Amino acid sequence: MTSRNLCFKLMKEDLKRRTWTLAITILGLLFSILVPVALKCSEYAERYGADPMAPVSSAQYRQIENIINLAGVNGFAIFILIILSLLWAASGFQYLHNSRKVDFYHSIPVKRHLLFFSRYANGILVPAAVYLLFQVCAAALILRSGIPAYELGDIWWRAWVMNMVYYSMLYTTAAAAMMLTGNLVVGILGTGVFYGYGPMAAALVFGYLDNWFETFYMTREANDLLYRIVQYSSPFANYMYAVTDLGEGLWNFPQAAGAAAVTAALAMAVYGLYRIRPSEAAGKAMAFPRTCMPIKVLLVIPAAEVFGMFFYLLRPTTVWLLFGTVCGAVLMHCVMEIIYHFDFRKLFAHRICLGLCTAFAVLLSLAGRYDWYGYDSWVPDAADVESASVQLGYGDDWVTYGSLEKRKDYNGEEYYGWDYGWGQTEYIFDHMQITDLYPVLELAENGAAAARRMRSQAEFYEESGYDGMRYVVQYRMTNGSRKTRTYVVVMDEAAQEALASVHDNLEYKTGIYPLLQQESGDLASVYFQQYNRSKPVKLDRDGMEHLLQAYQADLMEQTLESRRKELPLGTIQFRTVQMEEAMKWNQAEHPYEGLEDRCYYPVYPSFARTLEALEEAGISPKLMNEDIIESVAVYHYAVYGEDGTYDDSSDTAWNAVYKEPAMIRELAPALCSTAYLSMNPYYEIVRSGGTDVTVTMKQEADEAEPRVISCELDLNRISEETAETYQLHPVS
Amino acid sequence: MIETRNLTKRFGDITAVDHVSADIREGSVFGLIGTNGAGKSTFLRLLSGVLKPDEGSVTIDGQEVFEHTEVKSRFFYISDDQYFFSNATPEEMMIFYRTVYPRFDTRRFIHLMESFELNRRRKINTFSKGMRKQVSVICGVCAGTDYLFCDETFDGLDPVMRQAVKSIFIGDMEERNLTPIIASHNLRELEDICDHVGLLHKGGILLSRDLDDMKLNIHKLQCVLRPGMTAEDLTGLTIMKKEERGSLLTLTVRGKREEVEAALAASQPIFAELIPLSLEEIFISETEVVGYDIKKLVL
Repeated sequence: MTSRNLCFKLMKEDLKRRTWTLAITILGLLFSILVPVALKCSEYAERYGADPMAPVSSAQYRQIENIINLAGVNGFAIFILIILSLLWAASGFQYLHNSRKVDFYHSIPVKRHLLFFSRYANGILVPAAVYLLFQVCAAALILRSGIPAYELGDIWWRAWVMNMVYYSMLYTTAAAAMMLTGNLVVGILGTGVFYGYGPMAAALVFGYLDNWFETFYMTREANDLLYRIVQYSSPFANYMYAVTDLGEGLWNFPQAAGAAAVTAALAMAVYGLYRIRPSEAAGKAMAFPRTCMPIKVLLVIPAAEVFGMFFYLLRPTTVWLLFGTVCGAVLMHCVMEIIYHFDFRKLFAHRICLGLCTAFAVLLSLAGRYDWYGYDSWVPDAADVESASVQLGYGDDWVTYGSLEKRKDYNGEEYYGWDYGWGQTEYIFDHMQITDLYPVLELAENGAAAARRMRSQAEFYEESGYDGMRYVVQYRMTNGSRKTRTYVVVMDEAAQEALASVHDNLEYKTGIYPLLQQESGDLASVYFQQYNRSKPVKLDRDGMEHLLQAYQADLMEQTLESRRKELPLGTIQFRTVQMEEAMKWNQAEHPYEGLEDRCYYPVYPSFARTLEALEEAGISPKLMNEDIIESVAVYHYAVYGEDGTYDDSSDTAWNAVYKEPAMIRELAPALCSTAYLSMNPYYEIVRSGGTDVTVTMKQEADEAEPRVISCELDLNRISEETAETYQLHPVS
Repeated sequence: MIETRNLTKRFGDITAVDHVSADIREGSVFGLIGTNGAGKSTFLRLLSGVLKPDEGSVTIDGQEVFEHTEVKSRFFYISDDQYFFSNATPEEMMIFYRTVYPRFDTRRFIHLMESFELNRRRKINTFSKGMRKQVSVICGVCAGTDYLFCDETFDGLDPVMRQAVKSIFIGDMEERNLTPIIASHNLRELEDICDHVGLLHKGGILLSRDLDDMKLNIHKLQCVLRPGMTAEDLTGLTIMKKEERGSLLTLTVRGKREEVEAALAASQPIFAELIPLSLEEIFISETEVVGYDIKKLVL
């Protein structure tokens, strides 16, 4: 008998032995694919089948989408496939865990590779055939229900290919776990380890860094690395990422081909394990005794660290850290020994290993706790740093970062959306290069000292209560590497001075405001917005270019000192050609994307060049006064007593609406638009406590209704008597 | 011929089979006897290619057994607790065996099942232990192999069935030169069927000899010596075991009958009688020599 014939016969015989697995496969896929599709299709045909030529409504489209998803990225079917991968691997190679079965199969005149391939192939081909059959039936049902073929497209077979590739990967991984173990339960546990160890270990490493190092900052590169480790260190995570891609309509063929190649390599490795697996391993926990120690160490140390950090979070003292670490190490070691020996009394076997693992875990925990690495206290020498990028915690988070990107809606039609990219920090890291390092390093020294104090007091910043500024700095070292740290800087006098130096640095501004990189050639239009009303600035090309240059110059010259004293009058937007085109494109179908609200910059009273250029264009920003204000409503949700206490119960709340021009005149200087306040976190305001203020603007001729603006009251700008008259109380 | 040379198998710290060299000729019944844990089952698992030797070799007619399908198709291994597919019937097992043993005799299988009054369409897991043994023996003899490796196969068979199985073995030996290799510690069972015996003890082989030679080379001697003489005065005898009850001396001695008789004659005892040893007595004597003292176990 040829090997091929024998292999087919063995496959047939194997399938006979595993009819229960086949039955579960059929039932699982039937109820996760075919039955839901049939149910939904019958409903669809009843509702919309009568007139297939009728225009597709949005409700109908949603139903079509739901039905097609059942034949495509069907979460329930994916869950069933994951279960099936374990089931087929376990049932296929479970005979290796039973000495009677091993004696039987290994004594018959059949080459072991045929035994392996007949079982391995069945574990893939049978579910693949059942799944394909149901996919074909589902596609046929969908078409028969009246859903057009172009709506179904090729998703059904793409989903089949994608799911089978990743099913095979999971199945082969589970088979590897079965090869490495000699007991079914241990094999299933091993599969769990293979599925989850990589992501969990990566998460633990980053958790360790984040937990112990006050100055650790998760950069985009580190985030990418974590993402990649999670994606590629676990077949399960890899599958989930692929499913997400497919769900978003991304048919990542190279990734699927890569997964197939990895599966093939893994299958060869599993076969290699099968070849060298001793028959006498049946019934033992681990098939290869040499793997016991490394696996144990790889589980004990992370478990010890997790326990240590957990107890430290509950009670941040060294004693509880050590308690958690030792507990974790001992517990996991004992569990592993019990599993290895199948004997509870062996829980303290290999005491030397237990001692070494515990000692190493304790060292790791203490090294983190006391920063023996010197991570937090490290501040580079200025000579080793080429340049630095900094993000100031009081920062300008109103700045729009990112760019326009083309997207597709559910109908497949293109529109423009705004891709915010990686946000401010990463923009700064990419664009800011401060070479005046003295203030940068001074703030870093301040932050490192604060971190040391925090560590010695075993407190968290959140609990410390002192006034601190979050400060992120990335150094470009002379050796080409980049080092990133985040600090909480104690804002003493020296720090304030260093902060002003950094803020006023032109390299800082160039790196934080994308507008300063904008070139006049790309300019399409300018809009000025004041008190929620945006108006185009009617200028010719030269005028627009002049306005842009004026604004850029004002922004560059603005100092921290001036920002502490003034708030914006309004905001200005320099629209690029691309923005204009995108807004026009979106106008009909996607106006909600709000592209017109992006990229506004504040115009301060001190921006003389800008204001002059605006004046030339006929725009005169107005200060808050009784001429433009209809009324001021002050809602006192808390009532202040003379001793500074306040009562914010609802029955003491009261509302006051001031419409009298005289009253408005008195209050107007204190009115600060919350939108403008948010654009200047450095502004030194004395807030009125327990009040919510809304200002109703006078309705202009071309407005359908008056604008209502949310404001705060700055008591610095009005006299104490006025504040008292209106029952306004300052809060720190 | 099956040859093992320095065959060694270790399970961790335990050496289950320790440098065993033995020859098993075709056409005879090889009995593999040994104490509990002597390594009989391990030896058979090595012979059948289930286990890979750590050292040494197992060959059949010069060809290695492990992962050699042609060689493996020449034997059928019946383990101590033979595995049958779950919920399988004897007929289904037959169909499977037919797939892997090309010379499987289906007609004979059906005939033997009927002869043993076993329903071939009944699930094996409903059979008694003895019936399952019968099914495994029937599968084994019908596989048409040259060798049949039986691990404690007679254990669980009633006396009638034991005789029936032995008859089948003898018939197959005559008809097609079958070589059964039977591992057992039930020595009485082997005594009347084995031609050759291998005695395993603590993983090593103590002896491997034809049963007749073995019986002819070890004897129980009961004698009454002349006054003043002791067993030590019996020169020319290799005494393995000595018991004294009054003046009656019972000795287990090694050597040919003629040599023992000649040595006795030279000592001129008052009374002397040579009694043949049963296989069980030979086993006990041989194992006692290497320190397996049955009296210690009994006490």
